[in-house]
Amino acid sequence: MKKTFIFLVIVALAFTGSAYERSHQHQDYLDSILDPVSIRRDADISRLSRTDTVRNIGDGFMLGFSENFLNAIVHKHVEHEALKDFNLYFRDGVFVIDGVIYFDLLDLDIPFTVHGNFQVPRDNSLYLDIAEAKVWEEGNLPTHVLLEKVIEFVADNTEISKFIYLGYESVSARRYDEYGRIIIIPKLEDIAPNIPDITITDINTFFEEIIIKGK
Amino acid sequence: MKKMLLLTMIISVFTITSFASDDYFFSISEPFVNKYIDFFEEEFNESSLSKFNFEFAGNNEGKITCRYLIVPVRIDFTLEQAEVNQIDFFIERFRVLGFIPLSKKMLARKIMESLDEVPAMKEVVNIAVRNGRDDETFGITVRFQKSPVELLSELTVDNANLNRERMSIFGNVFEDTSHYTTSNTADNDNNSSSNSIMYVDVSAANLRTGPDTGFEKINTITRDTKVQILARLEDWYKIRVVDTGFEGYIYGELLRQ
Repeated sequence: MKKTFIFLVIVALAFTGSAYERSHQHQDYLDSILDPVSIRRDADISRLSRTDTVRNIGDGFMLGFSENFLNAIVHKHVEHEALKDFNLYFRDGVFVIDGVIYFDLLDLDIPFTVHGNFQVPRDNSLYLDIAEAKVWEEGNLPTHVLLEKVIEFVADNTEISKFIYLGYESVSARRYDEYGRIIIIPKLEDIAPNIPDITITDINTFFEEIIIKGK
Repeated sequence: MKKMLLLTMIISVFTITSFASDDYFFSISEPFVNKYIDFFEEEFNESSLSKFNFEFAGNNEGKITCRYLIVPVRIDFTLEQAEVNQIDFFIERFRVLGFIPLSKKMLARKIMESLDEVPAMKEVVNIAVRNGRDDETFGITVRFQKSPVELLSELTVDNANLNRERMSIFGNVFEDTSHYTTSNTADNDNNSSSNSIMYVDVSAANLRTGPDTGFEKINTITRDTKVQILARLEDWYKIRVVDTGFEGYIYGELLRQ
């Protein structure tokens, strides 16, 4: 009895320790992407480049949003009991999604972190090419499959689909063959119904802000 | 003039650095504004207005040109100040290059009412002509009645500026929307207080050109002066002095029933 009890305690400690270790790794990984030391240097550059960007409005429009702004939209329209956490971060040329989703097939809360950068291959098509994705829970699904499930879940089960088309695509280029690409097509007629015929032409991320240009 | 220049400089400096503290900015170029206005040419034609064109000169100055019937009209304006959900413009010069059977203020009101009818603006803003220092001068107040972005009702407009060939507005995300005065709320306030009679309750009260102590004083009215309430904007009343016909704004606490 005593030996069984000791064995169970050891297993519990090992499990708790393992979970704590993963949580620590998760935070360390997130901090390394949002690294304040390199950001201090990049922030000066990004502010300068943003100033140039602000001047180059052309004959269209420009929108600038802070992290706070986009997270407020996300928390209002991307809401589901299975989505325990979902946060966006912007750094110079980097877009980060960090969240926790309850995956019913595995009966687990799965923390994940995705980062990449934006491309606009043609007007009104936004590609978030994923440079790296991490899952902070043990499971049997490959990371890119889990990502696809997360994107499908958000697209099918939250209100955000009223305003954007959200999809996931595996990209068969060597750089992205493991993590794929998130595709965002804004439904501008629903986002801005009283401003006809507008389109998005460019998007850039800077320290804690994102700037979108259009015409 | 000096005060205007100082205010413009302060606003310009603030807006250069303000995105660090604001949650969003929205900049629109002059061609974008004019292309957008062109979409609603038919609506403007119904008010006998046509050929609208906006120009942003920079330093918070701008110009609107249009035609009323066949007569060219030119309005030079300055962005005077911006506060939470309100932007005030001052009309520096109003030129009508021909004969129009309307006073300048009535024509300005007609132009602003037409702009107010543009679909995007109708739902979001209320545009009103307000009195200036005298009968010849006046200003325009643009008040945001709801968030300018459908996706986020908690947005406010906190600042604005006019640079060369573009206009920008800046704002933040708040947790509640009580800072918006919706048209319904304003209408209710107006219905309950408009056209009612009140009296000045202090020995001397300043009548101003706008609903804030920063606006210029038109004149001073004395205790027991009878005034007619025209509108209410939060703590301020727009009034008409019954005996003299002077119109302006007075702080509500200075009046009694």
